[in-house]
Amino acid sequence: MRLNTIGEVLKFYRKKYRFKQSDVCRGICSMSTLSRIEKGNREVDSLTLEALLGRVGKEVLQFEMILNDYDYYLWTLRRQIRKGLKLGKREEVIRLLEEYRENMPEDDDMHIQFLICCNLQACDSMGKDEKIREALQALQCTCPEFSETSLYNETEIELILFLAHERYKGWEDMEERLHNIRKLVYEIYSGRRRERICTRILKELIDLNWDRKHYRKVIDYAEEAIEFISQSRSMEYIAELHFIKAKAIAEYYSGQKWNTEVVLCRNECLMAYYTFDIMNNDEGKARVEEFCEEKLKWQITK
Amino acid sequence: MANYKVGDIIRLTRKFAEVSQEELAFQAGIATETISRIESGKHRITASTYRKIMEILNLFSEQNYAICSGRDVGIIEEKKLLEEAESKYEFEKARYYLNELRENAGESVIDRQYILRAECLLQYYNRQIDAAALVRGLKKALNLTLSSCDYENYRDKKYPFSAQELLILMNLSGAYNALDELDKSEDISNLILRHLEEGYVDSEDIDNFRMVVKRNLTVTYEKMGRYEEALRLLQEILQEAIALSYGLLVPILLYDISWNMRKLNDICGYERFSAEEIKLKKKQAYYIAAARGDEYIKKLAADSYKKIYGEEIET
Repeated sequence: MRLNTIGEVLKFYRKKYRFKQSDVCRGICSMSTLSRIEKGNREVDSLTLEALLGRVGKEVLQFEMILNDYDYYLWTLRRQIRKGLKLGKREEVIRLLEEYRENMPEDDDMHIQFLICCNLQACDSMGKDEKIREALQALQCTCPEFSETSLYNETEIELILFLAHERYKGWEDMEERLHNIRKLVYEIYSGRRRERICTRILKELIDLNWDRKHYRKVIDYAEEAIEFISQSRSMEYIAELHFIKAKAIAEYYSGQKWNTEVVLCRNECLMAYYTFDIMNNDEGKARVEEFCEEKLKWQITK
Repeated sequence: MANYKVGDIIRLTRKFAEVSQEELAFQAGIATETISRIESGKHRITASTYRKIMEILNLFSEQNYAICSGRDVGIIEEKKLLEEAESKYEFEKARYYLNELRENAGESVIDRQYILRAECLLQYYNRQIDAAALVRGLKKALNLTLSSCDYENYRDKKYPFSAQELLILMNLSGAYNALDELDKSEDISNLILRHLEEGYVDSEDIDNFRMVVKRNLTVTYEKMGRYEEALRLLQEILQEAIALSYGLLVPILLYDISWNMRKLNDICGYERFSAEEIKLKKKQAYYIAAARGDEYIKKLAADSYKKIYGEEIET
């Protein structure tokens, strides 16, 4: 099966996952525009294409695009910005974002959303309330309201995760939303992207439930995340997850007779400890040691 | 407006501009063979190279179109899943993904080559064919896109192998290891590493791939009795894996390191590496494998610990 245009790709995946056109294009463009894009009769800028592709869980990098000069310039800037964020080069990213702001098309919601989202990731100096305000504003660009069938691309998910992380209280059903998004991501994303995003969603769910002292849920989510990571090639979070699981087990079972669970808890600690060790994370090791002494009355470094 | 594959666009544009492949290649500073492979869709081209070529041909594209160059969108994911299952020795899963691939793949040479490769490997892992047959099968796969599958022909030249061809070469090197044709295995591994250094292969898995090839090399060294070199290379790869957070290799590397340390102790005739040191490596391998759900390595470490020291690895 040959797929030659983004339009055809969009249509292919939209039908494969049985999504409605209205869900794919909601907040980005009109349904008639989407129809024309799918037929190959409409040219839109690459950010819009990214956003649409993102709704069906695909990335532009999986395909090759041939763009006009202006669009190519902005696309390259976006790539550099994303790479800079990944590598933690904050100052460079802020400089690039300034350049982007100066050159992007005026009054374009898509570009504004991109700008704000990246700025939130790069900027350290904003207060919590301001961050939440910015994130909500950015989200409004393409997500006017929520429903169960809502589709989200990576930028939108990033913003929602951001709000979750900042403990935004405006949504009572935050946990449910995160749940639905995770289901969606699991179904339509693949490979490393899926790992990365699902793990982050699970982390937020874990933190949320730890705050609420729902330790059974913490254990369950931690196990899911670990299961996930075990299918991946990466080592990030693995130590942290086992440690969280250990702590949650201790909280959940403490006060009762917990002989078998103590063994489980120790095992989780050992796995966390050795993994922290190989990753040269002394701080992590110290935390595990301390926990083992206090809660388990046990010297992990025998 | 019709839509074309990148290779087609370049070919048609070039013909229209009445420029030969050689001329274009010379202007662009790449090999004529590469132009030919780009045009026939066998070589993935980066956006910057495309622009360079189009500039030379004096035509600027005013429009957007997105193009899949020779790779069917539907099976990119299946390929990744298959490779991951292979690397974790999960053969049932691998068999499943291979079947999915076969159903969804097209008739292109690239797809047929990939499937042939995967088939041979699975048959070998399931002990349906022996190492010699694996070598034959892999060479046959390579022959689908390479005029000569004798790697000696490529040793001194800079041939632009595609990422898929490099993958098959890596499998071939592994097969020669199993066949004890160690010189060939070493040669091919080094060939691949040299090509990776050229940097024309650009994919997000390139670092991982390089580490796996290096690890294959350590297996070759071990079989040759070059334990010192194996140990040194293993430690090098381990540092890289840790830096890149590439968990798939870390447990096996730790285990291999412990194995080579024991071998060197045997050869030296004295305890160059203390029992404490070796035990620690095995425990590291064990617990990190456990943390990652790598049952295979976990068992390997536990069994070897018990065999050598007569105690359970979990105190």
